[in-house]
Amino acid sequence: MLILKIVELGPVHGYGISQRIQRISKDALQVRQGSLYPALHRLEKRGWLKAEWGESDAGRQSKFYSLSTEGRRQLRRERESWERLAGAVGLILKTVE
Amino acid sequence: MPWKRKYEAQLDAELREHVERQAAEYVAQGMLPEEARRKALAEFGGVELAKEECRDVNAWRVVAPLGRDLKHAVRALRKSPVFALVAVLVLGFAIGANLTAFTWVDALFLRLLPVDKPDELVQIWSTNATGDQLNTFSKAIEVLRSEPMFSGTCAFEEVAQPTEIDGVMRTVVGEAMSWDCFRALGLRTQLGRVYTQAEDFRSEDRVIVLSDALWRDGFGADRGILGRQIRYGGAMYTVIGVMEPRFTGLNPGASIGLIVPVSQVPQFPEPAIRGPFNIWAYFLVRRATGVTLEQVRARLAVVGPRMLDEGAPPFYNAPQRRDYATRKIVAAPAGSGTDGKWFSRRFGAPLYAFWGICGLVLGVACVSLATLLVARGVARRKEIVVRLALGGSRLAISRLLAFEGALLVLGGAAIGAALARFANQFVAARASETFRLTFRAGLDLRAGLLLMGLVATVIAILSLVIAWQVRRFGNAGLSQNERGTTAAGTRSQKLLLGAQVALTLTLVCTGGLLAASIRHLYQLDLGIRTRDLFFAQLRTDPAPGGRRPENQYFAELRDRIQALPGVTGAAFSEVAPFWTFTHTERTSLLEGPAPEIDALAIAVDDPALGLLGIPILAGDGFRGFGVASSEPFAIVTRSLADRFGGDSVIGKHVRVANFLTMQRLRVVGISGNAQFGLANPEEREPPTVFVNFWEQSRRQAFSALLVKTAAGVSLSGNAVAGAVRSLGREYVGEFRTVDHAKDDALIENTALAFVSGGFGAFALVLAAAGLFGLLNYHVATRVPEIGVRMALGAEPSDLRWLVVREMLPIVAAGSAAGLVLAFAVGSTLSGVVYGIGAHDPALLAASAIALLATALLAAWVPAQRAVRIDPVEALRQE
Repeated sequence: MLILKIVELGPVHGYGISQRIQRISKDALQVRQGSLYPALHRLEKRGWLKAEWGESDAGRQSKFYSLSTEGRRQLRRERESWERLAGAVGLILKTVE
Repeated sequence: MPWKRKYEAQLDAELREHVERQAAEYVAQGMLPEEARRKALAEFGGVELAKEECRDVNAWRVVAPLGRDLKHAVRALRKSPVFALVAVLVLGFAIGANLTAFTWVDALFLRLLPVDKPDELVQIWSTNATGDQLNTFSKAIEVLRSEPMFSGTCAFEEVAQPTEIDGVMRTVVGEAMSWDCFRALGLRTQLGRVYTQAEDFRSEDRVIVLSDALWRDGFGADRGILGRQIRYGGAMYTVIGVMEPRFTGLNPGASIGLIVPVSQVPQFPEPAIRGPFNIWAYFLVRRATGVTLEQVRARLAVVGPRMLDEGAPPFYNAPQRRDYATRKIVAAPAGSGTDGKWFSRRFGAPLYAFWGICGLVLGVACVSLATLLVARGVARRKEIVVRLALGGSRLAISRLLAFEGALLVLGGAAIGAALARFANQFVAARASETFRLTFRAGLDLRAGLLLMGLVATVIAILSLVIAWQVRRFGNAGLSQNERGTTAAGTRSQKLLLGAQVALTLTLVCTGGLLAASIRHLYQLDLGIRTRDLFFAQLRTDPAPGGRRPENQYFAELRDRIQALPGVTGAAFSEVAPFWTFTHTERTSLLEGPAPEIDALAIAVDDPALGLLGIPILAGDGFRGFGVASSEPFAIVTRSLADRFGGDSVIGKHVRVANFLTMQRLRVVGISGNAQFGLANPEEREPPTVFVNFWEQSRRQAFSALLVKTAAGVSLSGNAVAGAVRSLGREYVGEFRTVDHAKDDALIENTALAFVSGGFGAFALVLAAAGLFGLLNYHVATRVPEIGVRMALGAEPSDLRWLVVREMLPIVAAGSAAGLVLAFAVGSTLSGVVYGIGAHDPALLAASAIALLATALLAAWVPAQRAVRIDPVEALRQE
């Protein structure tokens, strides 16, 4: 979901994604960088991400990932279910207090 | 795979870019490039690992793990070479046997005729009152030619003739074919042309078309062959064409050497005819579009009598014509070859029985391999459970193990194919030597397909066993105690062993049955003494201008043979003893109301009966040697005399079918019963009429020369052949002992008994090995328990019983199932078993006892091992 959320902001390459993950999570999530790519490829294979080769700022060929329509839908679903879960957990915590 | 290369390049570019950007960032922060790069790589955490994981996500994830599985399987098998070797050999044997059986069944019964659209062809022949399938006089085809229902017609018959190729005489099988055959069957030449209607005409100008096989073997595929003259039979023929390679003849399994026009079939002596000429032949017709077999049959019912009337041989007299008219014209589909031939009658049932037995063997091999795999699975339980615990899916692990199985099966298939090749060459050589049959029994596409089917089936069975076992282990899990999974393993092993015992018992019963049958056949009193008796098959050399041998020639030949050293007697007989081609004739008594009997009619001379040990029981033998009396006479066997009123038949007259010289034969004696032909060994004491060789000149061609020697003399075939050749009229076709002829007459039964007996023994060994493995394992796991028992004072016999007891339920249940199966198999074998009931209780019991004895033998070593356990040592293990 994190990846989908990041990619939602616009086409971005793998390095950019890893940078943003580190920045957003404020280094709380120490993911091995290498394991990002299998995840990206899996999402691409599921049709949630689109991948294109394009020119990057430095003037070289990079693979840019962007969210597909199906990916957008998936992100919404996951967000909803997360919010439901979070809400439910919040509710439980409140009741217990 | 370019797509794969592209993917790899992109993957590499993507990952490298990541690392480079990261490194660039660190450089920007003030690091040295070298250090920045190292740090970036370290953070990335293994480029190759990431690549590998990416690949897993993508397309060839199916292929890559297979490669890994293959490597793993090879490694696993290399670790247990004995298991691998045994498994491959067992499978190779079973697959080879099935492949061999299929090749022969296919060659003889399944393969379609090598012509265009064979399924449209209908074969037509005639049957007599007893239902024998007979050839018909070829003139009858003119009636078929005028039928619009047929788009093509063909008259054909195989004709074997001495043929001179490069100065050497050899017998070549030709196919006599009417001129319209080529168009009807869609046959073309690869060189030259076929003959026309005008050339299918008896005259001095004769033409011949060579088969591809003879053109290559006999003439080195010489393209200048056209126009060459060949002596075939007694005449010279001009080669006008070479047939396309696919056509090997119209009988299944045939391999003809040449094709000759029906009107020009060699005759000896040559009739003085110019014009169309007819022979005894079979017919093929091609159904016109939309015509069904039923419509053909209905039409034949109408035109059949016309075929027999207008097509009757012109040399027939009135009674012969009447008899010929009582025949029926019969039609059958001809797609898989023209039927009614002797070898399909003779070898059909044995071959299918052989195939069935091979199927059983494959079943045994599969089950025993499954048992081995299960046993191995029990041993590898820990590996499998660990793999499952580490997150390997059941599917992946089953696939891994199935891969080992598949490797074994492929190894087995390779060995099997090699074995089948060897067996086919051996049998083909034997067939051509003994039966003058040439088969193309190579491993072809169809056999290859069968092989693949067999391999797929075996792999599927093994994979099922493996998947089932992995599931069991998965359910038991790592946390459970070991005994649970071990018990599950041995339980399935026991189940499989039970199945193996059942199949083994079936094979042993079948082997026993066929062995008893062949023993019976050899013990039969055929009424013929074979000691020190040889025979030479005489063939006329139809040299141009030659004369048919006659009495004076035979008398001279007899003298020459008797002059050979060691020879004590010589005689002539129309057929060699134990001939399998004999057929019966309608025989009737002229005086009195006795019924018509189907009897063999065999021309023999006086000493022949004596040499063969057939006694004269009443009346005289043939009086005088080489004398033709005013009234032809005959000797009947006791079995025929009994149906014609006993001894009073002497002096009366018999008539045999429509043979001109046998319309009124005076019975001069009664001989002992003798089984001359072995076409059907079950037919005991067949009624037979012995006619006088010297009075039956038409029956003197192709006669057999019987030679009796003093005890222990080994007569040289060359000496006899030399004596025959020295008279310049005949040559010796084959020379053998009469015992050898008997062996050949029974060869299919002997071979079947031999093969099934061998397979039974093979299955017994496998079953014993399986039981041994199980019991041995059983003892090994129970060492502490046995130790305690010993310490408590158990007797060795108790301990042995402890081991044997484990096996008994398996053997008992397996035997029960096996007996049921053997009963069923016995029923299907009734056609090839002689002199013993297919469900002989003694035999079934003996087989079961043999199995039990083998099982006990297999239990002996583990039982001894249990007894020899040292209690102190055993308890220390606890």
